[in-house]
Amino acid sequence: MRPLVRVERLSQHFPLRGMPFARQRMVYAVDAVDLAIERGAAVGLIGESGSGKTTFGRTLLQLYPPTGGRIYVDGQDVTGAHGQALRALRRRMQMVFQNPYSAVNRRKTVAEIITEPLTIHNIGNRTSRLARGRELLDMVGLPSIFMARYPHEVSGGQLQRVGIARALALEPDFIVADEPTASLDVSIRAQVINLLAELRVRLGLTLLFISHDLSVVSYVCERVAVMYLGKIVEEGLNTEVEQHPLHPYTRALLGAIPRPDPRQRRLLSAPLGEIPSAVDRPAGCHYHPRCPLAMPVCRVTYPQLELKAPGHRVACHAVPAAVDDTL
Amino acid sequence: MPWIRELNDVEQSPLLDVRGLTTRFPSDRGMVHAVEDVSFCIRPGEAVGLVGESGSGKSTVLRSLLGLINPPGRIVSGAVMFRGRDLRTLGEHDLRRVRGGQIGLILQDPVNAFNPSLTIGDQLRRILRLHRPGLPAGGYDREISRMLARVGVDTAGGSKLNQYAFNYSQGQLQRVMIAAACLGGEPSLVLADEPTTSLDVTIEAQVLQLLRDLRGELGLALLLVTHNLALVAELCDRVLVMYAGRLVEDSDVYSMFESPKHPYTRQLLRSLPRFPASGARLESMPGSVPDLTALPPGCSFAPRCEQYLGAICDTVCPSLLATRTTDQRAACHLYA
Repeated sequence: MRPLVRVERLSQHFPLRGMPFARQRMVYAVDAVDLAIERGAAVGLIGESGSGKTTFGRTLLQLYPPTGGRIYVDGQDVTGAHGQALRALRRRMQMVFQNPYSAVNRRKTVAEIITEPLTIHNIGNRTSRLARGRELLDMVGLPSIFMARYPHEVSGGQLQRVGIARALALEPDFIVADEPTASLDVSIRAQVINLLAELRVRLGLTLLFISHDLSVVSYVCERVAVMYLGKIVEEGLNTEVEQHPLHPYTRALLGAIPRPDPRQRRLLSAPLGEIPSAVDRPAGCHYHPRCPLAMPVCRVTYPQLELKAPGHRVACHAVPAAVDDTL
Repeated sequence: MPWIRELNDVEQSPLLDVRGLTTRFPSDRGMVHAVEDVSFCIRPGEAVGLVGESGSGKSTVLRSLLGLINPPGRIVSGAVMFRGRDLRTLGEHDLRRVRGGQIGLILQDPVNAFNPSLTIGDQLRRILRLHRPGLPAGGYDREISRMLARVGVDTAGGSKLNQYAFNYSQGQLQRVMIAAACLGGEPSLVLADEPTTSLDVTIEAQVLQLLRDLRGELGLALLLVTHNLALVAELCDRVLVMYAGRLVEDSDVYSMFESPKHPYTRQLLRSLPRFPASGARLESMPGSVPDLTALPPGCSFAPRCEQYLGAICDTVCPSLLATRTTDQRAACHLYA
């Protein structure tokens, strides 16, 4: 099957502000990432802060023009689309943001917020837009009395539902959800996770779900990609990645997650030190200074993201190549 | 000899005994009942988790203990007995010796907890001068380097002490704050308010392990305020659960996770994403947290409760009582 969205060596390098031209340095926020997302699939993208996961999502939607690489939608190269072409693309690709309070205009009512994409794209008239707005609210589980409310009159969980409704207004095929539950309380988080999982199946959405929390990703996605300093270091089915993580970074990340079970208490393993800055990335494999398996080659050459098990790609010199040749 | 009996009483009594703590904040929309009639104890060396969602009042409890409630907010009533003294009766001068001295404090956001215009060394020296005035003149810097080395911050021969908070990473700053809280004075109790919430998961693991190690070495009692039940499972002996300003459950950590007594605790535990994922749909709790300015007369959880009993839940606020089977306490009419 042809992937709905595919990126080839997608890069986003930001110049570091306040540096004289001759000494200009770059933040390698996203660096030569390859990823394909099949139609109808949900892929989770996880990583710590500074790993580049949010920048990747935004670059994929061309909220910033990529500084390198290509983006293909339905097999067509859409890199650098602008004007009408970009507008048409935005109808198909939408985003749900992390903090719903900063992602909406506080002076607008929920009705205005949800129907704004329809207004911008000149779809229907006022009456039909409002009808569509009520339909969208119903879809995300809110009664239509919310139409007249302002953002400060609704709770965080409810406002995130409004954000989801707005993203669905144009009937997109593809949604990037950037940490949609990170700002929500535990009891509300589950509601929003379930809503996204349901909508995805009901509307046949293709989803990129960005999160720092693998346990949340597992409830929505089948595949997961792990990002470290602008690179995808591991990618595969989430059952596979959760149960047989191959990259030493993924292992450290999984080992560090606290478990809600006092009988499973263990020494919390954690990689040494902290994530380096995306300006001064270590040479070779960016993870080598923290890696227990580092070999001389790791200091020199960045490992390719290769198939190391069926459907499971890993960028690590220390992981032996796939022995399975059924593929 | 009456003083001997008194001394023994102090030995056996809890380190911290909070009785009927009530804190309120006036607002435009009416009085916010942030903390209502909260009572609990912490024994010497015990690690207690205080969990709840945002707005449940857990941080207000912690701040009330140290008298850190800013007007117009006010502690309306209650006693905070610490080593036999009521902290609420102490003046500001005496309280300052307790804060950071006998009771350490770790805050959520290490970046904003430090003064940006003073070096880290200066800030730590101030703490030591206040709480350990007996150190010799050159002893302060040596002591600070020793403290920071213990929490894994390399001071690079002292030069790092002359740097400011922005020169440190978030994880390092949280370690410095832990050093100040646990090693700065001579605390027997450390209060930690969401100590790892602003940190990434790998740094969080390092900080949790550090807290565990320090607690073991120094025999510290800990009150950990968090919304993350997993942290409590990793670190605590006992759990207090708060909902809408009241304590609803008080259990040892094993019983809480295995057979929670209050319906809120039970529903909350079921809505946690498990890892590895079970594959099943996540159970979610209906509704949302009530408005603290207009709490219902009965149980605040009644509208979301799946074991709602009827009129009694809407009219009578249940008090925190021992349940019949175990030593767990729950504020629910199911056990009346």
